Amino acid sequence: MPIDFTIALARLLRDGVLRDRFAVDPEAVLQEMDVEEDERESLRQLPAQDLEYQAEILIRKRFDKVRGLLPSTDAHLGLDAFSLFLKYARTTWPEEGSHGWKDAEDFLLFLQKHRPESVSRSDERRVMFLKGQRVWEMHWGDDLWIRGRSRRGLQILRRTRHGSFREWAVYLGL
Amino acid sequence: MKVGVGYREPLAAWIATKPVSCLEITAEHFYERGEGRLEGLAQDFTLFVHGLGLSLGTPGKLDVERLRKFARVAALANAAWVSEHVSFTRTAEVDLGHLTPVKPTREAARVIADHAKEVADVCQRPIILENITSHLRLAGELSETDFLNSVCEQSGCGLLVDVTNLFINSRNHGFDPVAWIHELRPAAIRQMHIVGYTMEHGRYADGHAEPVQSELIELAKEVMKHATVEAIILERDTEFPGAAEMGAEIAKLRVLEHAD
Repeated sequence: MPIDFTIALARLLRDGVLRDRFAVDPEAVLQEMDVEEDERESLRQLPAQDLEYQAEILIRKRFDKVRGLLPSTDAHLGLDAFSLFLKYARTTWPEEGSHGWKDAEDFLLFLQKHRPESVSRSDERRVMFLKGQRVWEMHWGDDLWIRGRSRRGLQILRRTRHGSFREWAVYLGL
Repeated sequence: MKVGVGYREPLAAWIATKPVSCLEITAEHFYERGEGRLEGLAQDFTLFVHGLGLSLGTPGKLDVERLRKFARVAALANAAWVSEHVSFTRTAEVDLGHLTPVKPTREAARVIADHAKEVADVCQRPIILENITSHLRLAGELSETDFLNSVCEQSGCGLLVDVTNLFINSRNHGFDPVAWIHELRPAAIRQMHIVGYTMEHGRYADGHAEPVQSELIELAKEVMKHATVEAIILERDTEFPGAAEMGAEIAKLRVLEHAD
C-alpha cells in the first residue's frame, strides 16, 4: 500500500543510510518506499543538506537524553561524545516508550566496540536498572559522576510507583 | 499583556519569588508526577498548558492515552488555555521525538484543525497553535500563513506566535518575517513565545539557551502592532541563568507591555 508524505519524511529522517541513497538517487528510493504519486514531487524538492540538518536536530535531541543517563561516559568521551553518538545514531532508532534507556543501552554497546575504555560501570548499572523491573538497587561504584568529577561511593537507584526513577549517591569528600 | 516564563525545575526557586504573573506548563513534564506542585502553582499564577507530543499533524486518530494525560494536566492546572504545535512528531511507524513540519496543503490543514478541535473539546478549554522552526521548508498548495489562517478558520483555534522560530526560519529560508506577521489574521493571535536564538554551523537554531536578542524584541513589537496579544512567555530550556539575569530577561519583555 502506498505511503503518504508524512510517513516517507519520517523514514528519511530516522534512517541515515536511506538519506544517503536518497541524495544519490531520489527516484529509486521513492519507488522503493512506494510513496503516493502526488506526494513525490514535494519529496524530490527537499534539499539533501536541509534533510541532513533536520535529521541531526533529531539526533541531538536523542543525544541530550542519552547523555543525561550516561554522565560519566559522556565526560570520558569529552568533545568526541556527539560525533560518536552521531555515527551510532544515524542508522539506529530507539523503540518508542523506552524513555531513552534503550538508546543509551545501544550506544553503550556501540562504545564497547569502538571506545571500550570510555564506558562507565555506574552508567551501565543505571541503564540496566531502567531496563529491569526492580524497585531499588544499591551498588558500590568507583566512577560515579558527581558535581563535575568522578568519585567513589554508593549508587542508590529507586523506581517510583509511577515508573520514573530516582538516584542518590553517598560519598565521602567535599 | 501578561509576561511569564516556561516553568522548569531549575527555575523553581526563582519562580517562587513570583517575578511574573503567569507560567507556561509543559504538559509532558507532569504526565507521571507533580500533581501537588501543579495545584500549588495554579493558586499563585495564571497557567497555560503547552503540549509537545500530541502530534496534531499526523493523519488519523489522536493518541487517546496521551490526550487523556494532557487533559488531566490542563484540568489540574486550571489552564486559561492549552497550546500545541503545527507539526507532527510521530507516524504509525516511528516516534521522531521532535516537532517536524507538515506540508501546507488543504488536507493537512483539515487534519490539524480537526485534531485541534478535538483537543479543545476534551480539555474544555480554548486551544492555540504554535509555528515551529525547521531546516526543511516544505512546498504545498498554501503559503505557511494561509495554512495557519485556514487551520484557525476551520477549528476556531488561536495562534501562539513564536517570534524566535519565525526569526530563525526567516533567516534560514530567506523571507520577510514582518510581512509574514501581517499575513496572519490578527484576531487569532493570543500569545507569543520568545527566547534567544543560537548559531550552529552558520545556521540559526533554537537552542533555548541564550538571552533574548534585540532583533527578537523588535519582531515581538511588530506582532503587538498587528494584534492584541494576551501573554508572552520566555522559553528557557537549558543554560539556566541566575535570578539577576532572569530578572533582566523579564525586564526586556516588560517593555513590550506598553508597546501595543
